Amino acid sequence: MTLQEPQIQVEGLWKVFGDDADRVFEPEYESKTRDEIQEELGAVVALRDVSLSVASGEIFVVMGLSGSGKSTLARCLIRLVDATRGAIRFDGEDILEYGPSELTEFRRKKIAMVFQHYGLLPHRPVLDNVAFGLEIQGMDRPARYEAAKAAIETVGLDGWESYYPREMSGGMQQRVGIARALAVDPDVLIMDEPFSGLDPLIRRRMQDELISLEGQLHKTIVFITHDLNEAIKLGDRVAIMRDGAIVQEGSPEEIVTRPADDYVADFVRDVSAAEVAKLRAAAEAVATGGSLEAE
Amino acid sequence: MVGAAGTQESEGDPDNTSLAAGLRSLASGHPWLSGTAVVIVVLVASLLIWGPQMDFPTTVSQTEQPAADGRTVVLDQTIREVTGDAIDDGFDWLTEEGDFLFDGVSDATAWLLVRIEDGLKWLPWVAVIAGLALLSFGVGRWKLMAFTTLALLYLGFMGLWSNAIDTIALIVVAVAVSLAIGLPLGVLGARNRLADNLMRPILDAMQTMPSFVYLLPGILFFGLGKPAGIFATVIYAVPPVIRLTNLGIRQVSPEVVEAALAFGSSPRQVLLKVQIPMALPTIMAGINQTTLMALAMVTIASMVAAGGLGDDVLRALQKNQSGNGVIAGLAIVFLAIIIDRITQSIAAENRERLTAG
Amino acid sequence: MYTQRNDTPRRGLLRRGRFAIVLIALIAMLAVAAVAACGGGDGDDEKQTLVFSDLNWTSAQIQNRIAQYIVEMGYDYPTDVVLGATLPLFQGLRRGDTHVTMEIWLPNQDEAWNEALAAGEVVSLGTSLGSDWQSAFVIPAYLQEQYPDLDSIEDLKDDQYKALFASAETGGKARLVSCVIGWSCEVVNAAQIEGYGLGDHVEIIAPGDGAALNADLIGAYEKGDPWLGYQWGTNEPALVLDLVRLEEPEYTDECWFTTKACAYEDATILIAVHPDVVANAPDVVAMLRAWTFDVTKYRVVAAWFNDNAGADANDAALWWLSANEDVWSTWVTEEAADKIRAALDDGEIPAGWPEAS
Repeated sequence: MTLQEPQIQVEGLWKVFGDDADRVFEPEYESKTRDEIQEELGAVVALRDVSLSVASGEIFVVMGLSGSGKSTLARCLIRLVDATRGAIRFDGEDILEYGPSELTEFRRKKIAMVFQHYGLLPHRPVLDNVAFGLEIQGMDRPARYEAAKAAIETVGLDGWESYYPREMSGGMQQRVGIARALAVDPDVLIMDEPFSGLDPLIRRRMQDELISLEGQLHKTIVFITHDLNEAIKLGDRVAIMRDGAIVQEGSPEEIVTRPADDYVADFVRDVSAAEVAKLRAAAEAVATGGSLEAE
Repeated sequence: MVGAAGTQESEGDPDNTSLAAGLRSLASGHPWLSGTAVVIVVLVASLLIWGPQMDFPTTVSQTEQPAADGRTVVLDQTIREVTGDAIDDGFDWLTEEGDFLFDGVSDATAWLLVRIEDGLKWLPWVAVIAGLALLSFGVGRWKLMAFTTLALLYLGFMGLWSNAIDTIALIVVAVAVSLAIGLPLGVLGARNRLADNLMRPILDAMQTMPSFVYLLPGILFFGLGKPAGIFATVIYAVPPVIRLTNLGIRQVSPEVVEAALAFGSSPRQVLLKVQIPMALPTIMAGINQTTLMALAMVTIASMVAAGGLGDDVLRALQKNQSGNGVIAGLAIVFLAIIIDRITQSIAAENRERLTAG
Repeated sequence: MYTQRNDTPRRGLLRRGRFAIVLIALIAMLAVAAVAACGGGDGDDEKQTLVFSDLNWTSAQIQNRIAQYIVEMGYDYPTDVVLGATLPLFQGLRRGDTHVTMEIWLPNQDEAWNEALAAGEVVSLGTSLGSDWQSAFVIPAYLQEQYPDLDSIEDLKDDQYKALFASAETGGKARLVSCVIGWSCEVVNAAQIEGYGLGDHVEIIAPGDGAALNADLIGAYEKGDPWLGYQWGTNEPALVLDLVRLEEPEYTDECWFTTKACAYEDATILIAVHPDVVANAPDVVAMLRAWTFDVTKYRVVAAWFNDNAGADANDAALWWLSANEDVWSTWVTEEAADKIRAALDDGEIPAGWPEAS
C-alpha cells in the first residue's frame, strides 16, 4: 500500500463533553490528566489533541480499551458527534466547516458507517434495510432495489431479501449492516467495533470476509476495535488510543516490535513479531484468493 | 444557628459561613435529630407568638359599608378574590378577542360531528351491527364478535341507540382532534427537552384539574354544545397520546437513529422512516388509552350539552333513578369494551407484523 | 446526545436529609394538631343543630344566612350548612340529613316534592321570595333593540330570526338553550316548544348543569352575540344581565295540562323543613311561618351584593339584617328580637355560617 495523498486528515482534534468545555483549553489544564480535569471542571475530555491521516484505500485501525475515545473519534469523522476543536479534512475539505446541506450531502455520498449493534430497522425487511441509504437520497424504488440486491449479493446474503433482522443471527445482521453501507458506494467506511458482538468463530470468518472484500473494493476503512489480534490482522496501520489521546501510530509490526511506551508494551506483551507476520500472511492469502460466502 | 442538636463538624465544606452551608451540614449529620429540633423550635416559637389556631392573613384590604342604625358591614377584599378577578378578566379578554378563532374551531368540529352522526343514523341499525360484528370477527374471532353483537343489541333494545351513535361520533371526533394535537406535541416533547419540561406539568394539570374548572371557561369560549364537549374531552384525553408518543420515540434505539443520520437522513426522514414506525406499538397503546379516557368523559361532555349517552346518565341521576343510571352507565361500559378490544386486536396484529415477518 | 449527570454522593445525602426533615415536620405537626383537637369540641347543646340546605345559588344562600342569624342569635340553636345541588339536597332533607330548605321551587320540583309530601318526609312552612318569579324563554335586551320586532315566541318561526340563532350543529334551526337535563323544566320546555309548533324551527340544547347554562348565556352576552334560552327569576344571570322575556300565551290550567302551549305558571317557592324540626324547634317553625322576605327585598340585597366587590352572602345577610330591623322583627318574638339586635350591635357572627360563600 502506498501512502500519497491522505484521504482523511485529522488535525488537533478535541472533544470535551460538559458545560465548561472551553476552560479545558486554559493553560493551567494543559498538563493535567483527564481524571484531574474531570474532577475540577466536571468536563469529560473524550478526545485530546488527536491527529492522524488515513490514506486512500487503506484499512486504518483505531484500537483502545473502552473509554479511550475511539468510538467518539469514529463519530466525529461522520459528525454524529461534533468536535470541540481541530479540523477533519476529507479530500482536503474541512468537514467541520460544513453547513447542514453540505453535511447531508457528505454523509449520503462520501462516507458510510457500520455499527456495533448493527443499527438495523426492525420494521423493514433486509432489502429495504440495505436500500435505506439510497432511499434517503431519493432514488426511485427499482433503481435502489437493484443496487441493494447487488450489495446483498456481495456480502453473500442472496435469498434473504424478504427476511426481517430479528429472524437472523448476529453475523448475518452485521452482513446486512455492511451491505447497507456498501450499497451507497461510499469512499470511506467507518466501522465501529462491527464484530465485537459476535462469537469468536463467526468473528474470525467475518474478518476474513472483510479482508477479501477489501481486496476487491479497495475502500478506505477506518476500523475501530478493542481487540489487538483483530487490529493486527486487519490494519494496514494501527493507532492505539488511551484517555482520548493517540499514544502510538504505526504498522502492526512497528507497534509490536517497538512499543512507544509501557502502556503499549503491556498491551502487546503476548504477541510476538512472528505471530504478527503469521496473521498478516493469512490476511494476505484471504485477500488474494478468498471470497465471501454465507454462513 | 438552630443549634442545639445540629452540632457536628462539616468537614471539607469550603464556605460554611453561609446559611445554606450551615443547613447542609445540619442535614448531612443526623437528619432525624436535627429535623425534630427544627420542628420543635418552629412550633414553640409560633405558639408563643401567635397562639394556637393561627390564621393565615388573607385579606388585602377592608372597606366599611354603612347599613343602618349606625351599624356597618365590613367587606374583606381577599387575596383569592383579587387573584380570581384577575383570572376572570383574562378569560373575558380571551372570550372577546379570541372570538373569531373559537367560532371557527367550533363550527368546524360541529359540522364534522353532525355529518358523522347523520351518516351513522341514516344507516339501518341492522347494517351497523352487522358491519361492526364483521370487523370484530376479522380482528378478534368469535368471542369478540359475540360480545360486540350482544352489546350493540343491548344498546338498541334499551332505547339508547341514537344517543350511543351521538357518543360514538363524539368519541371519533375527539380522538381525531386528540391525535392531531397529541402526535406533533409528543414528537416535539421527544426531541426538545425544554418543550418536554414545559409540557409535563401541563399534562398533569389537564388530567387532575376538576373538569368543571375548565368547562366554564370552555363554555364562555365555545358556547354550550358539541364543540364544548369535544373541548372538555380532548383536554382530558389528549395526555396519553402525547406521553406515549413521546415515550415511544425516546425508546427508539439511539444507534438506529445514529445509523439513519449517518446515511444522511434529514430530521424529517429520521422521524418518518425510523422513529415513528419503531414507536408505533407504543403510540397505538396511547391512542387506545386516549379513546378510553374520551369515553370516560361522556357524562361530563353531557354537562355542556354535547348529547349522547351521558344525557341518559345525567337524567337518571337528576331524577334519582338508580336503575336507569346503571342501564345507561353499562351502555358506556359496553362501548368502551368494544372499542378497546377492537383497537387492541388491531394493535396486536400491528405489533406482530413489526416483530415477525 | 450526551447528558451529564453529576449526582455526587454528598448531594444525594443532602437530599435524603432534607426529605427526612420535611417528613418529621409533617408528622410532628399532625401529632400536635391531633392532640390539640382533642381538647376542644365537647358540646353541651341541648338544642338540636339545625342544618340548612345551602343550595348553590345566591338567593337561597342569602336567605339561609339571614335565617341562620336569627335562629342562632335569637333562638340559640346551633346551625350548620350543607352545600350542594338541588337534587342531592332535597334527598338530604327527606332523610333528615338537612333540616331546613329555604327555597323549594315549584312546579320545577313538582314530582319529587309531591312524592315526599305524600310520604310525610317534608313539611311546608309557606312561601319565600313571594311568587312573581317566572320561568321563561328570554333574549338579551340589546338583541331586542337591534330587532324590535322580535318579541314573541311565535317570531321564532320567522326565517330571519331562525338564522339569527342558528349554529353549526342545529341544522338551520334556532338554537334554544333549555333547562338542565333531568330537571322537570327540561321536559316542560320541550313540550312547550312542541305545543307552540316550533318543533321544526327550534333545536333544543340541554345543559347538564345550571352553571353550564349560565356560562353559555354570560359568554354570549359578553360578546354581544344573539342568545335564546331558558331562565328563571332568581338565577344569577337573570338578576345581573338585562334580559327580555319573549311573549307567550298566558298560563291556564286547561292549556298546561293538555298542550302546554302557554307560559309557565308563576313559580311557587316554598320553605320546607324536615318533620323533626316541627317537633324539636317549634319556635323556629313559627318564625319561618312568619317569613316575609320577598322578591322586592331580595332585589335590593342582590343589587347591593353586585355593587360591592368582596361581598359574600354572609356580608349581604348582615347588611340586610342591620338595615331592615322593622322587617325581621315582625317574624320573631320580642325576646328574640332583643337578642338579635344586641348581636348585631356587637358585630357577632353566627358560628354556623360558612367561611366564605
